[in-house]
Amino acid sequence: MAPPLRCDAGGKDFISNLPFELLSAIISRLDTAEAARTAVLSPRWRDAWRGTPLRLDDLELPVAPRPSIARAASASGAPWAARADTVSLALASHPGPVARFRLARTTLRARVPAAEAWFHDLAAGDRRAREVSLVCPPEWCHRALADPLLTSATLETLALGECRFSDAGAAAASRLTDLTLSRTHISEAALQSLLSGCPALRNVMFRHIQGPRRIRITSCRSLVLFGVWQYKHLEELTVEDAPRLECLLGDVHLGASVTIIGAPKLTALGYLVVGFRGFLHGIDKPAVEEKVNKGLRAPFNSVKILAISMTFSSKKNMETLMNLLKCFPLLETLHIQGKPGERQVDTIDFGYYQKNEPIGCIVNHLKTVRLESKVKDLIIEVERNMFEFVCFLLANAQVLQIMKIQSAMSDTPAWTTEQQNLIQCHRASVEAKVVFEGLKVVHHKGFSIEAVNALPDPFDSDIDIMGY
Amino acid sequence: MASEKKVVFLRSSDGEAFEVSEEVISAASVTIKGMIDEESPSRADTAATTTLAIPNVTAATLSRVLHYVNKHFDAAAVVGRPDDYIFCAPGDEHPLARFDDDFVDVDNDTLIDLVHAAEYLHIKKLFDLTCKAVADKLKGRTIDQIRETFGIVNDYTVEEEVEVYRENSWAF
Repeated sequence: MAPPLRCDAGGKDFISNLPFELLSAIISRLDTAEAARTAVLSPRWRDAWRGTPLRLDDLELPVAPRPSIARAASASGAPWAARADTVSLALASHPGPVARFRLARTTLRARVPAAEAWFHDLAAGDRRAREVSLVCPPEWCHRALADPLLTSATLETLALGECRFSDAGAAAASRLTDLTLSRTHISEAALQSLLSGCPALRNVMFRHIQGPRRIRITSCRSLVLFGVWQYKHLEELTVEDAPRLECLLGDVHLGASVTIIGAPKLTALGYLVVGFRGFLHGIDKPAVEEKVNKGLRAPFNSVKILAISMTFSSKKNMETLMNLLKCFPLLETLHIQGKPGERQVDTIDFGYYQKNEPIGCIVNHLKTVRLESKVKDLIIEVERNMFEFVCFLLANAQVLQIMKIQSAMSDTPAWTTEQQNLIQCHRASVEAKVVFEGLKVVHHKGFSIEAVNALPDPFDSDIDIMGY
Repeated sequence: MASEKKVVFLRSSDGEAFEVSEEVISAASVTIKGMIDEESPSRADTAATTTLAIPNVTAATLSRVLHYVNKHFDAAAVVGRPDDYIFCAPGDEHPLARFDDDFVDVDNDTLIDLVHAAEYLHIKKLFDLTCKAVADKLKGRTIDQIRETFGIVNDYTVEEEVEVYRENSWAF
């Protein structure tokens, strides 16, 4: 490498004489707008900026769009489009490639055609975008057509809100590893084509995607994290041949037919939602309960962490829970979120549990239980059922170390004392500690693929997995 | 295992030699590790200590670089794992964060020399630190202030400058 040039006589502009790669290394450490402003310094800086992959993050653009841009947007009858117009100008000013394209406060309202042009452009050869993330409120996406992004050979991360995919597009995003779709419109067929056209997918999050009632993940051999928040809209969830899958998160209603086959590394699973049927409108599928365990019958020896959301109001629910627990013979950690129940409440007491056979995972492996109840005025019978269940666990779990009871009632000392008296039952494990505490503090914001992957147990964190 | 620590000498462009532990500098600098690996067959025969010429780095800069390297890469001196500070949350400051701040609190010429040296010697952490420090000096300043700070000569024609300003006006 040549020694650095110096203009000791007169000029001292040796920063501009840095080799291009070094100028570029410096520019790449500036935020979006600061980097773009350096282009005005001198032709050499302009060339260096243009030669540095663009990182366009709207949080790094001026808080107030430039007056001239704002005025033009107002004149077009859409003053709220000034941010989107700024993004269009930014893209147009740089030849690419694009390392990151991330919008957190830009609405596509009145600029859907422009946004569709971005997607087209970002997928094109000279843009070679590696990340496209639309993390604004989903409804800000105004159903922009995002098909071109799925044909990008360079895209690694894609997050979309309420965009749409057509049936015509064939997915071929061979490097795509992280995919988050929130309220995106996509047909079942297009979703299947997406999943099969992106073989590198590692982390997939579906939040209320619009369209599919069946989600089938088959032969996603790189998949590690799969999140699915579809709740009552889901009729079928099938995971088949996912050799690297470790974590399946969401609000998977057991009214849906759930099948998990060929996921030998699956460690954390939940929330599985038991009960509620009678509560929800728009669901008229009878014979729900027969379907519950169809796909979950096989023992899941790899699962160590299970999260369940249920009401303790009916024997039917309790039956489901017991059957579920039998599917996870090596379970170590159980999270249960107690929900308010139906009006009619069955009494589920000591006698009920006596009739049941012992459950292997509870007796031999269960170390940690976290029971969460967010409701303050829980029906007294439901609450009693819940604590009978706690007694059942304490009486049977021989290696139990901790039972955490997180309740909205914990700030009422009388309540805590009463419950403590209730659970003065036999304890199978001498080490078992029972702790009453308040509800965990929840931060939705921290919820990202990286955040989840960094957690040893996503259910015992400041992320609200169930309410996501 | 070797009974005593091996050292190498690095000779700067202006002829000054600096002693440094071979293990430490090999962990820090990809370039010097490469040089040492190349030398090693011939060194096995002789007991002589190796001296490596570093033609692109002056004594003033090299001594700074070695100060940094000894702080960051000498396992005996480092508290905690040398690489984990980038994962620290803001607030729980790495023990070397303060050292790093002071280290790059130098005049522009010295800083640019350090960027060059870090690049040439291929010391990634130092390269990241110094490039970030230069970037920080550009932040929050107007174009004129940046030109003045770094003595950047504006060799645009008036038309060119108007044009590039118009193109990138979205960033202002």
